[in-house]
Amino acid sequence: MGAPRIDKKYRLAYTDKAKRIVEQMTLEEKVSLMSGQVPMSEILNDFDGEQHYNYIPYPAGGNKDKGVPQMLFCDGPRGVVCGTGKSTAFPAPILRGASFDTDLEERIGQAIGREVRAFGGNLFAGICINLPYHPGWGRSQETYGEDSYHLGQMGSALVRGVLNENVIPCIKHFAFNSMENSRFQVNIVCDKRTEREVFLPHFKECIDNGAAAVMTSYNLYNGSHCGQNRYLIRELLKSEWDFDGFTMTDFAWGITDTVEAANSGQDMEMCETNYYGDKLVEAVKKGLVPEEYINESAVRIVRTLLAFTEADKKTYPIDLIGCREHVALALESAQKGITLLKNENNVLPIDRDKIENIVVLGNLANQDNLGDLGSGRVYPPYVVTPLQGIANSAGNVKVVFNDGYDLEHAKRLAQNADYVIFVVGYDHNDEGEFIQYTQVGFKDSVGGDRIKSLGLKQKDIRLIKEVGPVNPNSVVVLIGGSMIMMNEWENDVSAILMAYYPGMEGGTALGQILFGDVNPSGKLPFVVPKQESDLPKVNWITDYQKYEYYHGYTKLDKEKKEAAYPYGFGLSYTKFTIDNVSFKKTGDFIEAKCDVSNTGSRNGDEVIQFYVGFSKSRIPRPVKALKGFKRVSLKPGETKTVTIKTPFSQLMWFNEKTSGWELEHMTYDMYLGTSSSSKDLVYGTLYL
Amino acid sequence: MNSYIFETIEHHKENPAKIIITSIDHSDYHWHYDYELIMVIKGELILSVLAESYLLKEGDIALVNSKEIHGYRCSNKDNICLIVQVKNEFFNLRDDRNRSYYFYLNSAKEIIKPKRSYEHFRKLLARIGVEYGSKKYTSNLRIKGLVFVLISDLFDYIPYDIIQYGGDMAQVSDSDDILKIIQFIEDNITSDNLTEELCKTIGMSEKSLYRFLKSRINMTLKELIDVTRLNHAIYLLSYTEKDNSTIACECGFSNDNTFYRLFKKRYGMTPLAYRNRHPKDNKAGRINEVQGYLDFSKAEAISLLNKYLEK
Repeated sequence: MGAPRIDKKYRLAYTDKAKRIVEQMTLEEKVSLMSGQVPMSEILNDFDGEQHYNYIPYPAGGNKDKGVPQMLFCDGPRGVVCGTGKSTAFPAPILRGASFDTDLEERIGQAIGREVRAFGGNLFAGICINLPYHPGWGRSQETYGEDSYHLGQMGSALVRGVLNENVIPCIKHFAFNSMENSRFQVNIVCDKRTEREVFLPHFKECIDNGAAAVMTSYNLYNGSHCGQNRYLIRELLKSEWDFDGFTMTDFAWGITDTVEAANSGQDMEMCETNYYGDKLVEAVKKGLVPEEYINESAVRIVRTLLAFTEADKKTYPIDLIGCREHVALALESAQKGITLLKNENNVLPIDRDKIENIVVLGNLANQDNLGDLGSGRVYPPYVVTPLQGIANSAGNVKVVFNDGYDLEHAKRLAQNADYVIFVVGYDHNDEGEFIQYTQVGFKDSVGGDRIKSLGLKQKDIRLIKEVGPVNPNSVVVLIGGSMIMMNEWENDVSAILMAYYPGMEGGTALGQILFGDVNPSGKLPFVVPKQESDLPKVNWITDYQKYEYYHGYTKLDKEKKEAAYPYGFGLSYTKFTIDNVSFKKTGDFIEAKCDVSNTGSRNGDEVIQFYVGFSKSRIPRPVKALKGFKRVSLKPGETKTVTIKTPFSQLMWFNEKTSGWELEHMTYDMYLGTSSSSKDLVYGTLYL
Repeated sequence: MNSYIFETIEHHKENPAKIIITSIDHSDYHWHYDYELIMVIKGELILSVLAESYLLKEGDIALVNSKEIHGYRCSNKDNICLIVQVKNEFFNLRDDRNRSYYFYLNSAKEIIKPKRSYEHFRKLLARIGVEYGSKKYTSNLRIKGLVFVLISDLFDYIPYDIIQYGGDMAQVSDSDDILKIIQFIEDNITSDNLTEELCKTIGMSEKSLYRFLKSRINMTLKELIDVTRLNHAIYLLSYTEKDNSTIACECGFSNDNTFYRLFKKRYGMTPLAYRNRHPKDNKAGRINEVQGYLDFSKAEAISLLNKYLEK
């Protein structure tokens, strides 16, 4: 990277220029910078037509005479939503989270940035970093996982990657957007420590890494819509965090009141002009909104757009979109994210030279399945299905697929096969962005939260339970955007792979992993509990929800409940050992160090995870929380030293009384290892 | 698979299916790319699929899958059958998928229960047959429509397996390539350097062509060429008076001896013996279309088919 990154410092250098432009503008002109130009009715029509949502970058603001470019919005996060049959469809972020690979995520961000540019856009709004308080959240697939630290690291990597191509990274949905069906009306409440320590640090982290736009969420926080929440936008984001970019609303239903929204500091109404525009001009004229607020928003918008659009004069050819290099990145991501959860008797990998045929059961094997069909839907040139991917890697092994509808037939096929692979889980009907009949012309509602069950569908459970025991070489491949309960059937099969939504090359990666051409190395970015009741309680259809301080693995830890599959867990075809673990202070950092060795017979990657525990704390704190991780590649017999550095600030807690972050001076528990389970961690202590 | 006859079914270019109303004496084991639906309108027929044999009675319907080796012979009862041979390229739900479908439809021996009754398919086939017999100026169009309904009903209501092959996604449909190869061989059967020309036309090296065919239809190019040539020879032996040398030459065999040797190896008899065993009015053991000499039974067939529609 020769050119400087368009970080905050770089952008602030444009303040004077932006001010000069804004000073020459009439009130009407300034206000016109502050809203989108695409009527929602048009967008909804696009769902039915030949084009689709965000087929071209959606424009907002801009003023040609005054030299202010439009903001050109491209959605994500699986890739760039624009065009049809062009974009690279990366795996859903939940899989990318499972890779625990920030370098890879930065490269993905850069590829996405290039595709945004080639489509003619200048803003990427696909950086979703909401924390799934409960894995039933239908849009968990759009985010990296349940842990705030990990979310912040992964989200920041995507931010940096997008920045590398001088595209505006827009993070969303600010904030507390962890429920889908009730997203328009639910009022979220939580105590101050939960807000600051659990739900917001990852937003702060991404902003510190250069995020230049923030999309607010639909839901309410403490009684006020997040799109017009003065505390969140003006006080916290813009003042306390000193955010230099601009905010925008989520589309069409993000704000409900002109005056409240403008006074809260909301800079831009998307995607159309509904509450802003003439109404906002009038409110200013009536003295309900100070003009100085309008000036501030206008300067933020102009400054950001100028900084980015003037940064280079590069042209990005259209054939960059979905190019070989980007598709290869989508494949690499899938290879590094798919997670092996069980492998009894080493049934995997499959030795293709020793077997003749494989039967693949379950409709999802034969389906293009990139995730939900909401605003994040990407339209790639092709999708390699699990079935196609398995066949591609099978060599001379015959691959037969059946939907599994007829159990007797499925059993017969499984009996006569060397391996049986079940591909089961979810698609856009079962989870994802909730699209209601009243919104779009769909017959039924699709997507939404997993309200009824976090397990597989009954027919899939029946299929696995009936057919699994028929053949000892049985493998379940799970497709889905978050944690899936497995306890009903996990003993009926020998191996389990979590494939999430693995993207356009997901089938290829899956085939390579099943046949051992690629060694699985993904780690669960969420905990799988033994029972659903171990998770926080959420009312999915509601207008009120309280988020508690503990969720996911921190809740299980606190309640001394063992996980079925711990956070950070994932198996490999090779073996790793960890030695010489040490923890020490260096400056304002903790340095956790160990030697990792590959003691097996295959190349493999391991993710070393660093957790900090707070057992000596005088306040209620998690048993342990992730505070660092590093992915490392090792050849058989190879040993590498892994050093993880974590700043003391990561260990602070938020003191509500002083409204400040404080570091406790005490002995901290230190854990270094390969999952969040104490069995996989080496324990130490460190006094700070 | 090499020891069986590979039957290239000739279609009119735009028609998705070939319809035959016939009385079958016997038909040797053979295979083709087309999916074949057979319905016994009258009498009985024995269908053999590899080692398994099924007695199809009046009203029975069965589907022979693409590339499935099969044969027919009559029992001691006469039969009239309706056969619909659908081009496999129309069994293609997704252009970019390199696969074949294996349907389970045989009312004489049910392996998996269909999601709709056999009656439904009986009626649909009967309608196709009646349209075929009516020779109205719209019937060709209507048959096409009905065949497409038939294909979609098979996908929707008849259980099937998918046999999935590996392949580079960037490639266009493999089955198109295979058809192209077969077509080229048929069109250039007498060419001296067929292999070279074929490679040039489809843009594959000889090595990759070999791998391609081996993985897709489990035949080498040489085997495929020989089968195509022998198939043509069978046709000429059955339908013409041409002598061995002429046939060998017209089929592109380099000399009489090669023709003789390959023919004997495949069919276990000399070309002459074959010709003698299959006199002209029982053409090569192939399915004989009911024409002219059995006109009355065609009328009978249509009236029987109409009865299925009334049910």
